[in-house]
Amino acid sequence: MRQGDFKILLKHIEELKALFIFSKRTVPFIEDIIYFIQEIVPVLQELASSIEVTSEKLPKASKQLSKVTHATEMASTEILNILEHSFVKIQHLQEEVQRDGTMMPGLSEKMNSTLEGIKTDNMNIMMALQVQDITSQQIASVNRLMQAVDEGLARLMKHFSDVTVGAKDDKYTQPNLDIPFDEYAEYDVSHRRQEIADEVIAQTGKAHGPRKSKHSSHIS
Amino acid sequence: MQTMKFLVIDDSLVIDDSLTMRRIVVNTLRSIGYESIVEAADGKDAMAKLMTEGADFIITDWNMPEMNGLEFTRWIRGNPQYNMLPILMITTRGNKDDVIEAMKARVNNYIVKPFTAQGLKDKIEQIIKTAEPKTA
Repeated sequence: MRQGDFKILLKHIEELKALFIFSKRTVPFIEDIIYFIQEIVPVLQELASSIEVTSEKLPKASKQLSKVTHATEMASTEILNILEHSFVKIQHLQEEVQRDGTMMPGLSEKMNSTLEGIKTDNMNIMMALQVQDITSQQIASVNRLMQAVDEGLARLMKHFSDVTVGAKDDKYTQPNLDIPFDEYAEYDVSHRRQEIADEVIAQTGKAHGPRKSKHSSHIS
Repeated sequence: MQTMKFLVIDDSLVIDDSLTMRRIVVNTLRSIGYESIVEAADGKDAMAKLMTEGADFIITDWNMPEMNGLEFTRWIRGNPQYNMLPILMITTRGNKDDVIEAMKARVNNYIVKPFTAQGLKDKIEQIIKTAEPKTA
């Protein structure tokens, strides 16, 4: 063996020594990683199972919400039926009071005023039913959000298993999900939003409505 | 003597996909003296009703299936036969940008839900004063 060969051998021994030192230092890290994986796997399995359960519950919750919309719509219809009958009855009573000439002086005016008051109250009840349209849009918005979460979970689950969970088109085919909605719809009786709209209309001035035609009818 | 120009409303067309809202608007219109009212559930339905039954005043919602209120307004304004019809939009959309978009589509006025009977009456009166009357 020549001297050069010894040098190469020594160099390889040095490299092996360095490798052993490196391994000695990295083994604890690798052991930690193995422990971590051992601990995280059951957690991930639990997470996958939890996502699966949640994903199954979301369409059910969505259906329940749609039922709420349907129920409030039916209730509103019933209230409107009653109010419309009431409007007709008040109208008849007002006409009868007007026709009847045998009433004590001032009584017909008093009755008329009371009937007008009832009519106004009924009108206010009817206007408050706008809440049905507004809440149905809020529910539609929540439903759409739930569907988006379900779709996200379905994408996530693909990493865990081949089993398809989450958003399937047939799970969300209730008619209420298809209705267009305003996600910012709110029952705000302060009329703040109307004031904002009026400001915009005032600013845009006459730049709205149909373009002026050359012809128009005149009423004196 | 100064000649005043007024729009005369005989037949109204109320467009909303919500039956509750349609009934509220129709009853409010009747309470302020407008009796002849046609109802439509969306823009497409309204197009058909307008062609068959006619109208000289339109109240429309924005968010509707098939054809929304904004698309319907654009169709009206682009149609020489109907482009002079006054349009009042009643919607839940109360953002500034929404109002600007509706005004760009050339609605005559804009009401944010929930509205009051007096609010609707006031807006109709504003339209009557400012809208172009029907051609003779």
